[in-house]
Amino acid sequence: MHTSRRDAFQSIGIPPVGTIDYASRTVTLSEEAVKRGTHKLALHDKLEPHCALVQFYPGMAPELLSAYEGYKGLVLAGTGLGHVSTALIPGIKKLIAGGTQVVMTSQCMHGRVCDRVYDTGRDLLAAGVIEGGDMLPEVALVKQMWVLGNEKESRKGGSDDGNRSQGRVHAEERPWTVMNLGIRSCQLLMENSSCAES
Amino acid sequence: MPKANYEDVGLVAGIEIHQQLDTKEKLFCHCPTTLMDNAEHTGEFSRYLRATESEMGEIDRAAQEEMKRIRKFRYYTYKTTCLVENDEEPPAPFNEEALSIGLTLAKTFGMTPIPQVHTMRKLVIDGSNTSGFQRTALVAINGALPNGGSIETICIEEEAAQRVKDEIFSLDRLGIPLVEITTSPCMHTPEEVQQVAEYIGMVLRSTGKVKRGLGTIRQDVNISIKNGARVEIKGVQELDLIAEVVRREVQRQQTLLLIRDELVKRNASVGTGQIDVTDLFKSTGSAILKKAKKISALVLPGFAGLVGREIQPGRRLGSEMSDYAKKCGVGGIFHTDELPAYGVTAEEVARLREFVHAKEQDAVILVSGSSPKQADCAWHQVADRAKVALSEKPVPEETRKMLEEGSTAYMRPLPGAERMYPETDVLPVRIDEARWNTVVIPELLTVTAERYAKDLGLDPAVARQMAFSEERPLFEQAVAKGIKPTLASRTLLATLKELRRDGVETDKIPDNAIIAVLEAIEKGAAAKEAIPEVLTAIAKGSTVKDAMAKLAPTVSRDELAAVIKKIVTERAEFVAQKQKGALGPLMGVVMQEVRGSVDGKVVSELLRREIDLVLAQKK
Repeated sequence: MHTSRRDAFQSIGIPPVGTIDYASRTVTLSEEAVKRGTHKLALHDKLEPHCALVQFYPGMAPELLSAYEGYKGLVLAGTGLGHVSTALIPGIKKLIAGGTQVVMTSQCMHGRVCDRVYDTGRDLLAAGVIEGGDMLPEVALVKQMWVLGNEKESRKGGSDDGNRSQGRVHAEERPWTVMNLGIRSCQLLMENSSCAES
Repeated sequence: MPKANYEDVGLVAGIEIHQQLDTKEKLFCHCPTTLMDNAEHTGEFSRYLRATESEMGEIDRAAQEEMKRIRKFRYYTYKTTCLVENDEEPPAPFNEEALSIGLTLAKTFGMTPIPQVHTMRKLVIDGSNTSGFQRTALVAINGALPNGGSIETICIEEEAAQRVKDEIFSLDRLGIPLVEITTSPCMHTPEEVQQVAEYIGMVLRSTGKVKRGLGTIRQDVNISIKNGARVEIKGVQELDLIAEVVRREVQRQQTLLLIRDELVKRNASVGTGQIDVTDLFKSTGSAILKKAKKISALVLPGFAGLVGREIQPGRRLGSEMSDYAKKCGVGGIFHTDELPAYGVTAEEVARLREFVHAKEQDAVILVSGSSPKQADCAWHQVADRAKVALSEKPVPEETRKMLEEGSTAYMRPLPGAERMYPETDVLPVRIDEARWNTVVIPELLTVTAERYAKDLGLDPAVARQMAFSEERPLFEQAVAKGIKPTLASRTLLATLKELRRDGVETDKIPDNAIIAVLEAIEKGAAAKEAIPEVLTAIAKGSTVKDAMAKLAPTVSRDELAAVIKKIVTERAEFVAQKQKGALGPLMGVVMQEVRGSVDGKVVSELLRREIDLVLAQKK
């Protein structure tokens, strides 16, 4: 989360999987940490390659979206609570109608998207955009590639329930539990393994 | 004190019941609905709250009153709370489980559901909500009550944060779903109010989806009498107190009416000038007056003796004035009906009366403030309240809070309609016919009790206790598994209670463990006598298997027969001597040997047979 500082890899929106006490060399794992060997793992390495990540910026030309027609999935990195210009909504609608799963995330590091607060957000939900919860855009992209590559029927629709049932969105935001350690990629791996089991 | 004939008095009462729902998650976030120990809070933050104007550009009068003081509120956060409670994240969609419980209640009361449930914001700036509003949604209207009255509305709302102390609030409770049931003003005696509250409470518990225990249900009572005014009394937690609260409110309103008549007869009035008497108390023995930056006096011509008149047990007209003054942050007021006292001497009172030119039939009120502004604010509050006391309508419309034993204190004016505005962050939920049709009306607990008595053969009193108990679902589960209803009810009602009394943490016994133990007894694998010991061991962390093996090891009939044979043979002389009377003493020896593993009845049967056999052989 920093280009060069020592805490460059700190996790966002999730407590560390463990802490290390240097003096005693003891590692204390969080209650949620999944230990090696406690789960039977299976390799599900199929990824849907036709997924993309698009960063919204003010003045972005709506026609840029048409480049992704025929794609299976598209992650949007929107502003603030998860918004793009209303000028983009017809294009998004068209993509969804054509079978592209569109997930909204935020360019903000912290917090979750909520498209139920402002009209633009509600219009996005009505168009069929899925709220990406507190996932960072890159994470959402990888998860989308995995889901579309492995789930027989990808979930569509804008409901929060839909997001939760995909099981990879943290339901609550508790920033005060976040410390400066933890490995996000590890968490991602664990989530995928438990998903593979179910 | 006037005695009330409630019909003549024109008593009209309605109630609002607030009941916490036992849902998995909170109403507008995914946090659990568990209450925490305040000591476990993981963080805190603070807020200032201000009232916002309504869509019509008005500020609610109750909110205005709360804003008289600028207050900084502090909030405790927990491992179990999130940014939604902090009002730093938009609300999640409406909790479907809570809505379903609301619909179940609506159907049970024969109500009409609202086709589109819209969430509203209700302005509350007393600190109990971080956002300054409470979210509420109207779910259904027009229900019927057994007394012929009606239920006006059912709303699902957010529970408020709990006050820890003064201006500190705890966020664990904020957002727990509540159902608010509002009746029409259809009750006319204190007892009727209590009966209706009991009935609604019974229906609520019939759903099996409401929280239990003190503080999980609160009744607000709306009361008015002829020539009085509508007063809302908040937070009556004990059902048994409702009738008393109503009786005392009727008494309060009646007395306020009598005081007004007396004031009019005396041609009483309220002094117009605020008189600075700070210097009079420069060297007073009253600590409060001594440290005050400003002391103001209000002369109330013709009020003498009436400010101190009791209007409710423990409450006087002076207490009402004091409550109003407290809104400015002062600790209270002094009035001449109760002076000299509190360190104020008779000489000081005489000097005060002289200084403000008060006559014998006049009362003088003293307000002291830690700043001139505070004293001004309190003086005006008291003067306003005194004017109401001698006005056409001497009972002000108020929201009041219940004190111990059923008297009440002023909280704020009744809120106006201005305090509601739409919550735009929560999408409306549609209740279509298909959904309404799937709502199942639960069996009322009164019917359940009858069924337990009739079909399961429980004693009617036990049946009622079982039906109304929190353990009802577990009882039903046990009976469905073939456990005798009497065994199940005795264990769940009596045994668990006794264990709790002995300090056993029965909450730690899982439901399925209780069922497993009862099933073992039903199968004859253990004796009833072993239940308390086995459950105690489980509460202390033992598994069912270990507890049973240790405290009630399984003994087969053959093994038991062998044990009995051995014991009887060893004590042949004793048997010969006591003959059949040996049964009793030997029972104890055998039971000790097999511990709790065999039912006493079986032991007694086998032992008797063995003794008979030995005696027959002797002959």
